[in-house]
Amino acid sequence: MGIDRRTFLKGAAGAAAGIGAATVVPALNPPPARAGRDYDVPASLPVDRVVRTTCSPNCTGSCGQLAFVRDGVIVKIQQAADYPDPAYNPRGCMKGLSYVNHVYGEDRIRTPLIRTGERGSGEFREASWGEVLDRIAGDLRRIGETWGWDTVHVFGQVPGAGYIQKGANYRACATLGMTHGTSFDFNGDLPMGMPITFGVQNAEHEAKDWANSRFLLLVGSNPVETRIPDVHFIFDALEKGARLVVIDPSFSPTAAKADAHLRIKPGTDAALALALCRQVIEDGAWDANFMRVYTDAPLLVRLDTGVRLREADLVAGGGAGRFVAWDEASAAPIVVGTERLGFAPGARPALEGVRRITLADGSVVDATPGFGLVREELDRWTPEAAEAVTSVPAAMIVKVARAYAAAKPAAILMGGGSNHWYHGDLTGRAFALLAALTGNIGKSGGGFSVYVGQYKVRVNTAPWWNAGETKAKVVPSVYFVRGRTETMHADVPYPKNGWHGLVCTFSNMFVQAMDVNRLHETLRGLDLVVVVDHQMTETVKWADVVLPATTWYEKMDLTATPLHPFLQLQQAAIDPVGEARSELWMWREIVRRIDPAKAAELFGMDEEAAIEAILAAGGEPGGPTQGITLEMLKAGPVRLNVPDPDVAFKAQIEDLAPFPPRSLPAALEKTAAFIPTRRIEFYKEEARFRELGEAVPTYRPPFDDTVHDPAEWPLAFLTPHSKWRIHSTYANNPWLAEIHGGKPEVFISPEDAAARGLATGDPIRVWNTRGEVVAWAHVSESEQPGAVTLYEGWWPRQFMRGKGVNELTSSAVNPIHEVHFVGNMWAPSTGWKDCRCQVAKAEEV
Amino acid sequence: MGDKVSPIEALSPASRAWGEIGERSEHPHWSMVVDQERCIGCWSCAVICKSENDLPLGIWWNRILTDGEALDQPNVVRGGALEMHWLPLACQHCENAPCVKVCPVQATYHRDDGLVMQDNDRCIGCRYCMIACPYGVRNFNWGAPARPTPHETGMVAARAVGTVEKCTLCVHRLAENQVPSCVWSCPTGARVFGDLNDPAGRAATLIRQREGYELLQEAGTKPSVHYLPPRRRNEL
Repeated sequence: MGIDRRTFLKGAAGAAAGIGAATVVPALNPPPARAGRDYDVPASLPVDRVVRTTCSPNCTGSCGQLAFVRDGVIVKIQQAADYPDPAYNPRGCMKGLSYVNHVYGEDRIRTPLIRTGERGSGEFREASWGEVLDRIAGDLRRIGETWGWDTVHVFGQVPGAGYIQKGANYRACATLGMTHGTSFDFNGDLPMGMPITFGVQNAEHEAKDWANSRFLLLVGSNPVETRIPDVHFIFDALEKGARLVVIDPSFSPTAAKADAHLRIKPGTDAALALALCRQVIEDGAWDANFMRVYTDAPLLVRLDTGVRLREADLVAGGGAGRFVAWDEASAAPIVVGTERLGFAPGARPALEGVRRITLADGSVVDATPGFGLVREELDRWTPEAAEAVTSVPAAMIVKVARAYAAAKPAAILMGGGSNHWYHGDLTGRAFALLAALTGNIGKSGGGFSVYVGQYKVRVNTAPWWNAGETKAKVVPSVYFVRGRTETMHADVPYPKNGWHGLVCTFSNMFVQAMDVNRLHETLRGLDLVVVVDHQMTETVKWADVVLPATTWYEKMDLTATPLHPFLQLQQAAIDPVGEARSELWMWREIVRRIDPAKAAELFGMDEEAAIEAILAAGGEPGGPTQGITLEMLKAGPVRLNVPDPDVAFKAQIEDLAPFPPRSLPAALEKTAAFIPTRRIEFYKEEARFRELGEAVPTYRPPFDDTVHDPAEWPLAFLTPHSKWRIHSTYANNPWLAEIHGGKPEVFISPEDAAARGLATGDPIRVWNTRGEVVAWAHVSESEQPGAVTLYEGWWPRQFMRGKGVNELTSSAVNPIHEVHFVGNMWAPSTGWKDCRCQVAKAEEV
Repeated sequence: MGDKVSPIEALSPASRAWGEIGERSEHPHWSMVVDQERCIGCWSCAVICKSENDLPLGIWWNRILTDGEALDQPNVVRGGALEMHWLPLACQHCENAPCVKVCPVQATYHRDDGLVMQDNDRCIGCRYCMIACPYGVRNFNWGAPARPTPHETGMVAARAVGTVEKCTLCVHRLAENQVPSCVWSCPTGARVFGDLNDPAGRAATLIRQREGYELLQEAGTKPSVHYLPPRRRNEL
């Protein structure tokens, strides 16, 4: 076995005194008689009831929990472990189990509050609901009538953690004309490689399917810490003989479980992926047929314009939405429609070679299959070239490429660590190419899945989110943080009078937003800041009016997650603590004060009615909620009407249905416009892709290098998700603080620490041009030279100085993400990890 | 407040089935088998223990040690490679229990089913047992319990101030044929509760097949808790 059995004595957090103190046992007394001494064994203390609800922070777990209620208060929270598919039991982690401390803890907000001091001072007075609602309604009306209702930004975080209460935000925006913000792209979780390549918001395999894999390639993904309820599916695969390879700049706890850890230079994942692709082709281990049938590989691209050859180019009256391939069987161009994947029987479309094509107007152009252009880029990425960029040894690149290609099925799991970069889209596109080249798309145990964010709308929310036919206007929240960009898409309904109000719900945004000092400048121009929360976060302290929210133990909601396909309820186990109320109730009362007629028309529904409307709207044959009733959900989790296992793109691969599958709640044609070929697209013909040299998957160095010259700012600043928190939720949990110590630590390599005279426990200043924070150094072998890690989510009061990690992070917008616009689907995905810094020993403050 | 029921009886059939203790012999010897291959150091077992047993701030009956430099930090091993494993540690329920031997008032004692029990009514707080225990898993209750909540929590009453407390294997749940709460709540299936006297049972089988080991075997304590070692890395 791999460990010294005595080493367990080291490294205990809060190790108890006396451990290991006595290995020779003094026989002071004779042992007592063994039998007849169970008289003092207690029975379990009885309870009033046990209520099933769903743990719903922004973590993607969506874990069923039981609230044990005694004398009207929760005395224990434990996993429900009642999934009809036992593979998913018990689901839940130490954070959810400790939520009782947030329901009743000292940071709980129990009454409405009105600011009495300066913004940010945290000085408030308690107020009645009547007073705060009148105040908010009056201020909103004044702003609406003066500046326009669209100048009010309503922020609400990912909808999967509560379609009803978060949906009330959308409904209120649709009713009053306020602007709703975004979450998936704002969080940097929107994997832009997915809409670019597959025309979907995102699409992933349900977590259970990991167990069916023979090879798991994890890219910037740390499920041991951030997918605690699901990581066992990886162990299930390993027990059946699968291999696990982890690509991570740090020696993460997931790397500790891996067969191989590729300690990559931060932000260079795309270069590694391109080298893996090249190696798979070089070894002849690729699936040309898959590329022909399902992807744009054979479609001809005009070399004179860089856009694809259309049927309309070839023949007068031809379709502008029909494409052309070169058929080697007939040595002639053939037209490729978008109704169905694949080709006419007998056709043998070429994947390479330049062809001379005569157009309808008689002119002659050169054209080449898109895959030829992809190959040109891949040819650069020899293992040695990739090693020079990534620091992953060339021999290891070859080894991983061969093992991945040989294992069928093989899954790629990408996480925020690789996605949260300005060029994260290129990383996604390159790994998607690897999965396609090996025919792993649409297969159980295979696939390219990106798991970040509980973004997914799995039900038909239209009857609740929309006000009749009116949808809420959506503006990406990054434009709220930093204002509009020059390259912003024309369809973004950015308010012409800028921003004048903010209603912040389900979020600690004045700490947790990227580039947070810039957001605080936006804040200064606002006439009204309302924050809805149940915890006294730093964000709450910047509010003018604070509304006390309920937890998921005090209200009803409908939830789902990308990680598993079970629809679940939040159900109230206890009465609201203090004067807390649900978000739906708050909006109903606010709208009623502004427009009683609209309130009567649109806010009459309660939670149960809204859920029933959603279930009915998706209940058609083949619909997501077919056969699902509210009564069934009250009894426990119900599997949505999806295949088992739920595998992304299964219908496309098995039935040759054109890409993309629909991404709710957008209309299909909205996202289908991202991939006009209706195939998996590795060549992007839109002008901006070509202008920026990103028409095919390629590699770009981290963007922040252009802002912070690596010579002057030598360290990558990595701010991964912590296992102890869900972003900033749980940072103030006293039980968890006893485990991890409650002090933000900056992990730094021994080399970088020595160069700065830093030792573990020293105060350490971390800064760049955007801001600075002071925390405590931890010299760690898990860190590579040239990078430091500070897990995000700590509260400002836990640092020695500063608002937190996001004083340093960037809000730069990649113009590629502005080529199209559908909120949360093709929109600026932010690059939290794309950040450089300098560190030094700090004075104690 | 209405009629109260056992928290086990209040469960839905599906939830209750999750916690059922499986096959057992006529005279079971209860054991906990902890799989280091599956343990991820998440402390879910320790946190639910805290909640189930109403452990005040500062007291943990169950802790997760990192086999590494610090909490969740690796060791450098032969050849410069990094390694890290986790080791959940609670009362080992030793058959040859030093704590039982040294207790001057017989407050700590064995049950027939292998559990080492602590009778807090008898305990005089001398803490000999804490010195004798080679695992450091016993806790002394120094003062009035501090909690983050304004009310008591958990499924058992708090222990008297000035006494020693430790893991009971959730003996209050065993009476209703339910596994200890840490077993219920482990998200990775790293804990198996079972009967060592049932050689065909899952616990005994795993110990045999996976080369299970005991902590500080050389101390001769004969623990009822067994560990399954972490797996070796495979060649790609």
